[in-house]
Amino acid sequence: MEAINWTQVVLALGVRFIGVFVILAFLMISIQFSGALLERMRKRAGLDETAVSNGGASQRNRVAKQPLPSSEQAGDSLLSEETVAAIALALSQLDEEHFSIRPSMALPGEKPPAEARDSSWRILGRQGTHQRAASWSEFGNRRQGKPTGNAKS
Amino acid sequence: MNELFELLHSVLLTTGVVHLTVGHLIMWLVSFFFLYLAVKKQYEPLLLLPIGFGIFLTNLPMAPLMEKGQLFWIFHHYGIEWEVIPCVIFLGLGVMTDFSPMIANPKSLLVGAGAQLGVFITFLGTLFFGFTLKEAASVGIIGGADGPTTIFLTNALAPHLIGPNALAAYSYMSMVPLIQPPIIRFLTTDAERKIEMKQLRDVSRLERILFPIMASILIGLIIPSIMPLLGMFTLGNFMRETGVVRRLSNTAEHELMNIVTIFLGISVGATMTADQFLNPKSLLIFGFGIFDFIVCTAGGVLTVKLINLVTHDKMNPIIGGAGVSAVPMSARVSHALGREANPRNFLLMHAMGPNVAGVIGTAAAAGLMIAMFT
Repeated sequence: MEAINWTQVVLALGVRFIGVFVILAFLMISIQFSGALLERMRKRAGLDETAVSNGGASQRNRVAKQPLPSSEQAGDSLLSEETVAAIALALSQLDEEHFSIRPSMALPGEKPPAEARDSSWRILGRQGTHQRAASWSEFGNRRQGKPTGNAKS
Repeated sequence: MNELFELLHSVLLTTGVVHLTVGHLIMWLVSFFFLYLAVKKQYEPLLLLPIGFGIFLTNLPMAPLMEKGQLFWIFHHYGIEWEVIPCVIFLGLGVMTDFSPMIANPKSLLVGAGAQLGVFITFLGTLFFGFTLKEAASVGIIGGADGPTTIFLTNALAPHLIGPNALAAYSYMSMVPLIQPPIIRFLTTDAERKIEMKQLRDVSRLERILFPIMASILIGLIIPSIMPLLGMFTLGNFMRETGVVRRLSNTAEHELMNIVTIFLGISVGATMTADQFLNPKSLLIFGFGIFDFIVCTAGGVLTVKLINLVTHDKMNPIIGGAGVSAVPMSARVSHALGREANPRNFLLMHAMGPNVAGVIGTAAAAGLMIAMFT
């Protein structure tokens, strides 16, 4: 059995444990540095785009000279998460009620099952599809100057 | 008549029955135990099942499996001894790993480093029990909770311990939900467990693409000895993040990973013959394994508490437990504990940061251990 120099072993292990910290700390600093750099580049690119869309080199310079809004100010001008969620929910409900084409739950040539025939979602879905088809055909007719279905009736 | 008896005797000698020893029977029981854990308890079944069955088959006396040139020997020789399988598994792990939570919260890298405390403490502890320095290093790495790294390091330093080390690592990894919660509860106050963390920032695709290159340069320059393992890991992650080689990354993540997992399990199980396994060192390895896991968990939690002393944005110390790189099990444990303390707490993504940092931390610790002896 090899003789163990305990002081040396403890020191070697201590140094290596610190070594793991040092290596990962280097990696942490690299990530933070590259993240900050990329964020700055992204912001700059965003500002340039804004300046171009506003038009003119003078405008671009003016925008570039303006101080960046603080995160709080920027947050105030943005929609809150709840508002965004509410809008998304409303849009999805609108989509479900009016624009989606519902499955008939039956293969071609088969009679649809009772729950598909009589359920409200099927009626809604079918109505939605018909309404959409009607509205699209009316839209096409109007563009071509033809009388629409409503006008005929 | 004598000729008939001699004939029967010679036939009997070719069977395993007369060569069966108590050691074989004990190893069968060991294999059945791990098969029970895999099948009934579903603890890491992907690994414990092939390992358990490998132990069983290799302990069938006279079965031509583990002698030089035979089937399991070939798997073991070219897969493990040549260090192919752990590295290929790391390629797959790289493809599976999303570093975004760690990039969004780089402090989690320090947690991953702190969770390596057990590796070094266990190293010291095993020396007291008569392990050699190389054996001690290979046992210490079990606490990193990283199977491929454990196998890689053990093969490099103490190949005769591959079986018990790998088995201890995978067994305890599967028992993380049982091992970690009491330690985390013991080391944290109720108020600390209730800390809500700020939502992580979005990480751009460019950052995610740059990370594997950056990590390869940095770790490759400081500890080149671990690059066979970590290089494959970063390659896999680069393939994932660039998204231009979907076919390759899909193969590495699924088919290739599954294939090498089968060979890994069988190869590890095949090393566990009665004469290799049935000795006090194996039992000690299992004892030190659980001690290692406990100290590594404590190391992660205490590191978060230390970081909280010097930073404004407080981290929930529960996520320190995820520094033990049993991905994603330990992150899930942290999440569950966080929800238990505060139902509004969603720690999963926060815990994934230290979790993937732990993989890098364990690899770094293994690299430093290898460098110590070469």
